[in-house]
Amino acid sequence: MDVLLRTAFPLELDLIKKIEVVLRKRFKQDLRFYIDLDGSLLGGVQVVIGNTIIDGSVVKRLDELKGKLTTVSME
Amino acid sequence: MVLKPEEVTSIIKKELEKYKTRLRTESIGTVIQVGDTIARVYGLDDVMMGELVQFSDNIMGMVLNLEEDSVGVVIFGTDNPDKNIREGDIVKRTGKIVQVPVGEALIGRVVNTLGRPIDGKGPINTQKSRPLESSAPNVVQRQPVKEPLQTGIKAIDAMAPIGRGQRELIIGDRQTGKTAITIDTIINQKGKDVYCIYCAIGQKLSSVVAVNEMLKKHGAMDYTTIVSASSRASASLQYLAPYAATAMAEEFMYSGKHVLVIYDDLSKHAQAYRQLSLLLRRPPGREAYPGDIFYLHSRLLERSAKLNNELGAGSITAIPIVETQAGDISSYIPTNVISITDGQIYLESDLFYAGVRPAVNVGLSVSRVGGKAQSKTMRQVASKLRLDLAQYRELVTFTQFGTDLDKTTRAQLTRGERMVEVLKQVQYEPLETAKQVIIIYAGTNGYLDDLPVGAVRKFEVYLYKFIEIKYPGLRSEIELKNGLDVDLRNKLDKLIIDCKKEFLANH
Repeated sequence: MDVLLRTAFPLELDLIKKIEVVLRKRFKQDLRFYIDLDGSLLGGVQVVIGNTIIDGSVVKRLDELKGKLTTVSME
Repeated sequence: MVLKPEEVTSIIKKELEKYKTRLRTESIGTVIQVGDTIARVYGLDDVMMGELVQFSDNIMGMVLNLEEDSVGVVIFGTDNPDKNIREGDIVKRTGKIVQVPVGEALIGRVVNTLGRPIDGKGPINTQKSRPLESSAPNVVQRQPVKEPLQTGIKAIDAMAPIGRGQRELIIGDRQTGKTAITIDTIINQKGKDVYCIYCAIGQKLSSVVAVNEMLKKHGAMDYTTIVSASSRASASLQYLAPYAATAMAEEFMYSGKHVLVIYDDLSKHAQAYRQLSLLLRRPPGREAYPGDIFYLHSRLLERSAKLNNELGAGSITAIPIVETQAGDISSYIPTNVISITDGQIYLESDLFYAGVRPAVNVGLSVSRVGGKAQSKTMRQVASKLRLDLAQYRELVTFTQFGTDLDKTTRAQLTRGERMVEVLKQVQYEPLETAKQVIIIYAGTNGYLDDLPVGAVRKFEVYLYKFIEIKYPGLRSEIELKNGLDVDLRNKLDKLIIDCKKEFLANH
């Protein structure tokens, strides 16, 4: 299966190897890795496998935080 | 409200501490085709039917078609929401079936289909939400309709009365006063412990604003919510608006309260659904409507019911509106909705232009709940009224001959003419039950027969004022007493005779 690793900055090889180990355990399949650089992520890693995305990017966390903070209800 | 900066920072700090990052696996899809507010998406493997999905830029959509290798998504928004979506865009699941915020926070607000406020009065502060689609109460959970829902309109409360938990259709051509009847009904619910929800589907924005202004003017917005999916909104929002209104009503119903929901109108609702179905390539049926157009309305209207006492005895009364073309009530959508509802109020343009307003055709209008939803007093006076009007209708063609008629026929015609005058009413002035009983009693007992037809309505106004001055307790006596006993009849007779003397002396 094809796996896309999208990051903001180029990853060190041992980091990529760590991700590979975890994903192989999770998906138990033969995985082919592709790397993509996307500055808008600001940091962190996005893993896209088939039609599933595991989003660990900084921009996603900031969006979540924004959503949480703008809907604080005043008691 | 004065906000201190330290308060704000402490709240933000507290929220930041509560926030924990979680790495979640999300299912995504890719847009392969987009246009006409419909997007075809490849992927989204485990998405649910009717689930909310998210495009870029916070544009939301709903899954309506699950096909073998693609998913059909309708996009929500106003004014061309699909203009920023491109082929290849990522679509994410939200895991939530479309739901709408519900609760007391919605009272007095104007919201769109998804519960977002559009009246500029700040966000809707509620923790509760309900899915748009939910199953109707089953047989055991219901009880028969037995309490009246007073519309304040004489023609309806006397001849085709509506009960709490009933579905009563208002059907007529354009500009016959369909929306006007519903506004009067909402205004009449003041102080009667009934929440009102007015759902505008495909209406002009100016009409929705006019409704809002009129309700505000009569103080009705204190217990009313307006759900608006005007013609500006996408077909998907128009399609879902009545379900959103019903979900909001169900929240009150299951807490033992009474709700009145008005769907204005279901004809435009059917058209919006037809548009969606055709764009989703679902096979067209009669008049190009999809095969499940009946189910569209039946599942909506079945959710209005009267619950049994164990569940709190709450109710939702539904008043759907259907617009006919050239008075044709036997076309597709009108016949569908007539067979679903518990009765209809038929408005005719001929009557409207003849000056009979509200233009209710009392012969063709029916309420299948009928007398069970009327107080005993009203039932007694209304039965005579029904008879008088039926006899008048049979004979009214003879008035056009101008020939000499026998005494009985002339008497029936005179009575009928005056009863038709009695049923006319000014807009935005709903009448309480006691006043309705008084004027119908006066008419059916012949007290108006010697007044000229043109003076009947003036006399009516005079009579109400007269009773207010001379015998103010009469109105509450009528409301509380169960039936017109001899004592009450005598009082009414004396009052009406005295009033007539004064009226004829002054006019």
